[in-house]
Amino acid sequence: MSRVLAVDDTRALRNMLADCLKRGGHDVLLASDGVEALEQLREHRPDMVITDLNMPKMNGLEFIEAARKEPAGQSLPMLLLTTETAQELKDRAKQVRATGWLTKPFDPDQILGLVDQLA
Amino acid sequence: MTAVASSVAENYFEPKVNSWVAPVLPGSYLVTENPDIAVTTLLGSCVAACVRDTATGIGGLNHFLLPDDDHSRSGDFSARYGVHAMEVLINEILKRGGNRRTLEAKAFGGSNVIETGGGSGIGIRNAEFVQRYLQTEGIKLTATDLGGPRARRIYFFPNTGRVTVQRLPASESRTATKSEVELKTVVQKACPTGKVELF
Repeated sequence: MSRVLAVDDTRALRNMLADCLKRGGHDVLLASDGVEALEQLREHRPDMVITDLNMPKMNGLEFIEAARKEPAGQSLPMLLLTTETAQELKDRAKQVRATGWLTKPFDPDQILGLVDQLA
Repeated sequence: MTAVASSVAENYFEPKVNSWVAPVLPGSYLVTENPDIAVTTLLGSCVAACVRDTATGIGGLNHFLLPDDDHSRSGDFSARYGVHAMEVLINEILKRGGNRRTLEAKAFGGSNVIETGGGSGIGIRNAEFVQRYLQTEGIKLTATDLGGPRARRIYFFPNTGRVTVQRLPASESRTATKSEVELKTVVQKACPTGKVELF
């Protein structure tokens, strides 16, 4: 069992991700933007992060960049889960040391497989 | 055909609404800030959410369906196709300058044109999904025309929010929405999901 932080500003998606992860036997933390996600990271030290890219306040790339500077985030697996496909954004994701890039719609089995593999 | 793609069909002049219109095919979406264009789509069992930012007039619509329940290791997540269709539409509106707080929506479609083998009809599931989604996300739903036996052609004017609905005769509804059946087959079979790229 891993502790996974799921970050998305769309509540319906957050709920589905949480449901998927819980059914996989994982402990789930939720946040609706990068600012909340940073607080969760500092306070609850997840084993893995799955984050949306386009979000208000602090987007997924900014969040990952900030999280890498935190003790809890330095070597943490952090995946982006997004509708975006632009290479320029993927390059930016590599720069901020994201672990990987998933395009929506998400596949529940794939998500659980990745948690097993990376967390 | 993917689950949700940006629409590529060509605009045409539609005398019925006295306007240039941009057609959206099943599985697509389209957003415009052009005040002189209506966005149109032909709906059978699929649903369309017409979403606009009331402050800027930027808006558009999507055209989607949920596949039948898929039971993966982690349960039924067929709604994720709907969530995805809504998210790409809303993200595009926000990217073009719309504001989440001033969004409003109207929802259409979900008729029982596509036959399903028992259980609740696909149209009903789609109609219920779109209403529930908008409620969950706190987006005001100002009008709906959902369910029933007939297909609908809708024309949405994002700048004003006006929607003109034209109902097709029941006899024509099934043939007119043949491409929705194709979309259902594609979504059902291929269950298009995202790619993974580990850096």
